[in-house]
Amino acid sequence: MGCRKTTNADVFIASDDEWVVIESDGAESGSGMARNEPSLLPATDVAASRSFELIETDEAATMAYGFRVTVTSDDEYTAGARREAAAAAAWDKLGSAALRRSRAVEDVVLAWGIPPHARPTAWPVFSSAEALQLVYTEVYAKLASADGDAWVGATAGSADVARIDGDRAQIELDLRRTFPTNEFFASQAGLDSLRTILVAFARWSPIGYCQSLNYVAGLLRVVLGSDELAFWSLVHFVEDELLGYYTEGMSLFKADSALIGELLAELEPEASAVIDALGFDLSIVTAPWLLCLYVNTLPLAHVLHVWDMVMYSGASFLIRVALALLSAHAPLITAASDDFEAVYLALTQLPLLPPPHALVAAAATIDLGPEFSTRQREKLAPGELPQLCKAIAAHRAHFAL
Amino acid sequence: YTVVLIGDSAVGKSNLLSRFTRDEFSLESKSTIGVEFATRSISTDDGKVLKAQIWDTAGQERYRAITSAYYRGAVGALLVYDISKYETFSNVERWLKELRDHAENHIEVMLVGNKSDLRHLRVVMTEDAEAFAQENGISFIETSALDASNVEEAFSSILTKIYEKVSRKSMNSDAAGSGKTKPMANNASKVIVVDNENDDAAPAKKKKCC
Repeated sequence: MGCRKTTNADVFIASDDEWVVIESDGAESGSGMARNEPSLLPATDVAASRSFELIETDEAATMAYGFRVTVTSDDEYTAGARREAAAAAAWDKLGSAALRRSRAVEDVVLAWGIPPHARPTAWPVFSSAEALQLVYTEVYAKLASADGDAWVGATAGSADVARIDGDRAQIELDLRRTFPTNEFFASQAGLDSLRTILVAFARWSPIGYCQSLNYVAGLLRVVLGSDELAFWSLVHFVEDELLGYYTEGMSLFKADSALIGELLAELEPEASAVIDALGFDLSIVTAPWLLCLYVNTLPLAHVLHVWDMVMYSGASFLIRVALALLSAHAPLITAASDDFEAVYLALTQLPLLPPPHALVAAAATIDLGPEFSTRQREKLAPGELPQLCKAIAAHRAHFAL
Repeated sequence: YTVVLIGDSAVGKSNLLSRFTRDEFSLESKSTIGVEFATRSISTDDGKVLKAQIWDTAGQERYRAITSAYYRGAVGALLVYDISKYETFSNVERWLKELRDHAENHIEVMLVGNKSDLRHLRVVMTEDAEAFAQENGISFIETSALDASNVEEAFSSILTKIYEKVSRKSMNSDAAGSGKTKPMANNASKVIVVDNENDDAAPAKKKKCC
């Protein structure tokens, strides 16, 4: 029972086979390229190249969603570009079936991720942000307008004006700290857009603004290319998928973090024993991991593939990724023995980070156990989650037509 | 020794830490989510090496759900405000209460007015902060993580104070050690005091004292 690594689905190898197939289908030089395809880059190269920052070097750099992503080798660049092309090919082959959950779609998302051109459509459909947008039609425009405070006050009965003002001040402090090197957020238009999304959220949700949502909203905005879709996706995460993460007391986040510790004990007993003996509180690392959905922790390509999976299969994939990261670094943790700092550095710098698709594949094979959500709930105060859900439903009712 | 950095959001806590431990400053720093950690060793005038574990914390109130656990083990706290934002200074009282509620009774607290380079934007007068610190029995310093002024002084002063406190305590009590420090030999000047949690921490991280 509980947590174990399953070995029946070696997704990475399966997907590489598929890659060969796709290439030889479409390209004249397919077979030659397949032979030269580096199967796995050395983990250290990938780790060293991780960067959301603008770094002036001679390294090749490529733009993705306004982020300048540095790559350290031609091989890495080529591999990335090929994977992206393969993802697009695999996705397009699905045709109109791509936006419905099915085994075939799942296989593609798992192996390749969703290609960039499809994300603005696919993410809101899978996450149900699109459904929220349809239910609360025109609400975003009101929330985002200059007199949004007054509108919320009139619509929701009474708005918590002091709380919204406090949120607004915190948002102002965080705007310039959110991806300052991204092309879009370096511009006034980008800052205005992020401010509008976050203030609209502070007006909409009784949960209010919590630091880390700036990163989540920021990445949603540049990937989806729309303030409104970013807003509803944010609502979906904070009020549905991760309800209890960003609330006062952060109880579900703490529960999940504790659960990760328990699952690690089943998955990697030795590393887990070291962590326990050191009194190393896993929430030190799980806070930025889970609350930012791995933004700022993992390189952009990793984050995007993880988010593809989260959109498709739900937020428990975040827990799987945490366990996959811990598992990948278990040898370092065990070797660190009684050195607190060595464990901290291993889990914050992640030198053994696998490439994106390998990380996602490893995470997908981690079994959280059938009793996962029961265990999650047991860590909360009785009735806490239903109560939160009720509160969310009540506040949403104000905005329904 | 475990020291925590606390104070309102965006007063420069993370930059103080990176200036002290890595001599780095970034105008484009990220907001801290939860807690972050770094260490550095300093030498005292009489040749002892003090190793500090410093915990940097998120400033937003909601994060106290996570960060307050780190006050408990701390022997020192740098309570940071921004000299160019009055509100961050008026909130200092609330942070002191937070420490009284969650930290050890004898925690050494230092009030730190950061961003002293912003002379033209100053709204918190040095004398006011000094008076406040005196009233509350805590020490006070003004720093700039940007131009590095007084950063070294702030950390080494609080570490030295903690060291003196601890060694006084361990001299007074015969057998019972103070928990965090290893029992010392009679001749204290030859003893290297390090945090007992990582005696043999990564040597690469250690820096010579300037």
